Order: sequence, then C-alpha cells, then structure tokens
Amino acid sequence: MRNRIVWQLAAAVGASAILAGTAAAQSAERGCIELKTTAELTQSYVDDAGKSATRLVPINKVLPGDQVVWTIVASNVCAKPAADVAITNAVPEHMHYIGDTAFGPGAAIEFSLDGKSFAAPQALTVSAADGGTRTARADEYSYIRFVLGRAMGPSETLMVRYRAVVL
Amino acid sequence: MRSTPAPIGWPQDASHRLWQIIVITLTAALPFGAHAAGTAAGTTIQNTATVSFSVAGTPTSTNSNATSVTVAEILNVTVTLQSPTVTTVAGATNKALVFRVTNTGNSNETFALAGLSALVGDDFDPVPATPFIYIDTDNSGDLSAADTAYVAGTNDPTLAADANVGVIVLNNIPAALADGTRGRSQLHAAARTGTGAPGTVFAGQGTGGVDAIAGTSGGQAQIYGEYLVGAVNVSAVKSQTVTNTFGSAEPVPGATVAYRVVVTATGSGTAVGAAFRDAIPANTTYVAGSLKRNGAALTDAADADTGAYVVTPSPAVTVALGDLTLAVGAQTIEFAVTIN
Repeated sequence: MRNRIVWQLAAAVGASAILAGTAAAQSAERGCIELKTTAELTQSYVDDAGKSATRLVPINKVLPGDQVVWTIVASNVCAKPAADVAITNAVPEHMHYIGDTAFGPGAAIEFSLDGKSFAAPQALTVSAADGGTRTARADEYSYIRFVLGRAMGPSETLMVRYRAVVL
Repeated sequence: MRSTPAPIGWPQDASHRLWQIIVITLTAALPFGAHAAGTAAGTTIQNTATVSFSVAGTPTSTNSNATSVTVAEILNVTVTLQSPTVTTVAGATNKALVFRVTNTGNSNETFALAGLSALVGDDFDPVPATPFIYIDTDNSGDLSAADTAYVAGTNDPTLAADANVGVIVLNNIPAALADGTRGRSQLHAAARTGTGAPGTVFAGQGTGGVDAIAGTSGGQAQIYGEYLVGAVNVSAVKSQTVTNTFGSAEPVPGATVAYRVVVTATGSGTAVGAAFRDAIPANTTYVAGSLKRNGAALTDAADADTGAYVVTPSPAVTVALGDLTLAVGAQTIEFAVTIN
C-alpha cells in the first residue's frame, strides 16, 4: 500500500511538469479516463553534492539520435471505477522504440507490428531473409500497449513510459 | 539546506534504479548524432495515445492530447581527402589535392571553404596557387576545364542532407627542395549557419526557422593532404666491346662493336614513361636482331615488345622503358653494329 501512495504522488508531480512543457499541444478528449502525453529528454547535471546525475526535462525540439522519453499519464476523473484499462500508443513516425525501456507499474506490456495483434516481445516474429522467421527487433515494433490488470479507482492516476530514438 | 532535484515523476523504488541503469547503457550505445543525416529538419513528430476501458460494463475509449516535437537542424560536416600523397618536383605549379565535403547534417546547408598551406608538421609550405580552390563542378575527380574557381561568399556550395561535393586545392611547389621532403595543405569547411562546440544552439536559424544545433563536428571539419618532393635522376652508362676476324679488339672495317647501356633511376621519384633512344654511329651498320633488354631479345620491328630499330629520321635503336623508379632497378640494353 505504501508503494502505491508514493507512486501516485510521483505521478501527480509528473503531470504538472507535462502541463508546463506542452502548452501548444492539443487538449485531450473528455471521458472517464483522461490521457496526457508528454515528451522529455534526459539531461545530465551536477547536483549540490557535486555528483553527476540525470533528470528529465520537457522538450519541444529534438535532433536525430535523441532519445525521447514518452510519458502517458492516465487519470480517472469519474466517480466510478474503470475496468479493462489498456493504454495503446503508436511509436511515433520518424522514431524507433528502444528495447526494454517500456515501463508501467502493474501493467502487462505488449507490442505489435501491425497495430492489430499484440504479444510479448519473444512471441513477435517477422519473416527472415532465409525464408524462415525470426524474433522481431525492438526497433520494428510499431505499437506499444500497457494492459492494467486491475480497475482504476475514482481519482486514481497512473503513468506509463517508454523511450524512442529520433531517426 | 537546498533540496536536490530528483528525476521528475519517478517512484523511488528498486525498479526505478534498474531503469536508470538501462537508460544509461543505451545512451552510451547510441551517441549524440549517431545517424549520418536522419530525419529532416523541420519535421513534426506527433504522438497521441489511446486508452480503452469500461465503466459499469460499457466499453469506451478516449484519446490523449497530441504532443508534438519538431526536429531541429543539426549542423554536421565531414571533409575527406580523395587524393593519395601527390608526388611532385620542386618548382612544380598548380599541383592538385582533391577533397570531398559531405553534409552529414539533416538539412540543406551552405558551407564556407578555406584552404591553408602554412601548416606545422611538414618540411615545407606549399604556395597557394591563384585561384587556390576549385569546385569539382563536373565531378571528374580532378581539375578540368568545367570546374569553377571558388570565391568565398559568392559560390559557397549548398548541399542537401547527405550530399557531397568535390573540392580541389591547388598549390605551387617552391623551388630548391630536397628530395623526400613533404608539404601539407588543408581544406576547411564550415556551416554558414554557424559553428561552435557540439550542442551550441543557433536559435531560429535552421531551415524553415527551426533551431540549428552544432553536431559532433561542431559544424566544421578539415583535413590536410600532402605533397612529396620526389626527385628522380636517370643515368645511363655505355660500354662497348669490339671483335674482329683477326681475334683482336681493333676497330677495323668489318669489326663488330657490341654496345651495352645500363639505365638506372635514383631518388624517391618516378621517371614516367622513360624512353631510351641511341643513334647508330656514323659509318656503322646495325646488326639485325641484336637488340636485347635485360638479356631478352627484342624484335627490330615496331610491335608489341618494347624495342625497335628505326631508320627515320636517322638510324637508331629505341626501347620504351616505362615508369622507372629506384625499386624497378637497372635496365640493361644491348645491341651491336658493324664498322663499314
């Protein structure tokens, strides 16, 4: 239970940063669950103790080779719980998903090559040059889906995140 | 006490720390500007997520806001040397070094070119010719009539992402240089938008008004080429042996004179297309079929082998020696005449 509370607080901080960083972005649709996406980059800095550390900063411009952290925050704004929650995100055009970076507490993370069939990484295969099949590479994924294994309660907020590189 | 900034939005648990480790590893594997050109400057990358859920048994879905980021212009360039070391001689003029300038950024960019021949680390300074720099307009890989002289600020080459252009730098070689000495001359290319330490931002100065940012090259690059003074001396030493029917070495009429000429190249250079020609002395007659090179017979006819006996404009033996260097070694030519 303690972990859950910490998590929600952290998510709330993340949401305020998103609002500051994406003023020009189109607003989200209204519904029981509202989604917000944001783009950030990892920035290195030296902390007060003189140690180098990293932090995420909202961005609106990127360069080829940059690794963008995409964060999606979901909030249940209704008074009722929402069941069967699944967040789906197409890997943006001009970007490739970076393997093993998808992160969603309590969520099963699945990927898709076509946006229709979703599976765990080891179950995704593509045709190989020799006529057989091989396991798909992370940069070949075109969709990511985070399937929450429980209902989202009223006022609950959660966040999922992944990294993608600008081609 | 000042607070230490923490990564925004992360739960402080073990999985967070693990994730950070993964990220750092990935960052090291994919360095800044890893792609040669990459997504074009000005491209908008947009992202909208969708959530599906059900409330009281009714399934529904909603979209997120559309977050967009714009690809900025990255300023990157490479300069490569196309010509190997140019072997030349002291006093030579308009000797060409060929370079290639490639725009490794992600947008159209104009590059200023500059040559420099006063460099350290060599034995002499080549003297810039006038004009100093040519654009290889016809992409021939050498200086040709169609190429245009470069004038800074007037015909700076504008290159699309990943495009390249050949550039020729011309120098004169000073007189009185020792054999084996080297002189360097370099070509420098700099993005007109700006140059600076990698990461330097030129706000709003990129294509279409996006920010331009100096890439790993800092928006500029240079490389030098080298001239090698390769002097070559070709010497020929001629000796003769006379035989007659009396068994002596007296050069009487009817005696045969066998000539032997040893041609040797010395120095570090190359005598390109060296040709041997020796006139048949007056009052003698060439002995048909007596011409040899390095012990191997050469026919008298002007044909596939390198030797020939010619009668015009005056009787002589000729041997096309080809490119002679110290490494090729001495060439021995033999022929005979009879005294009339």
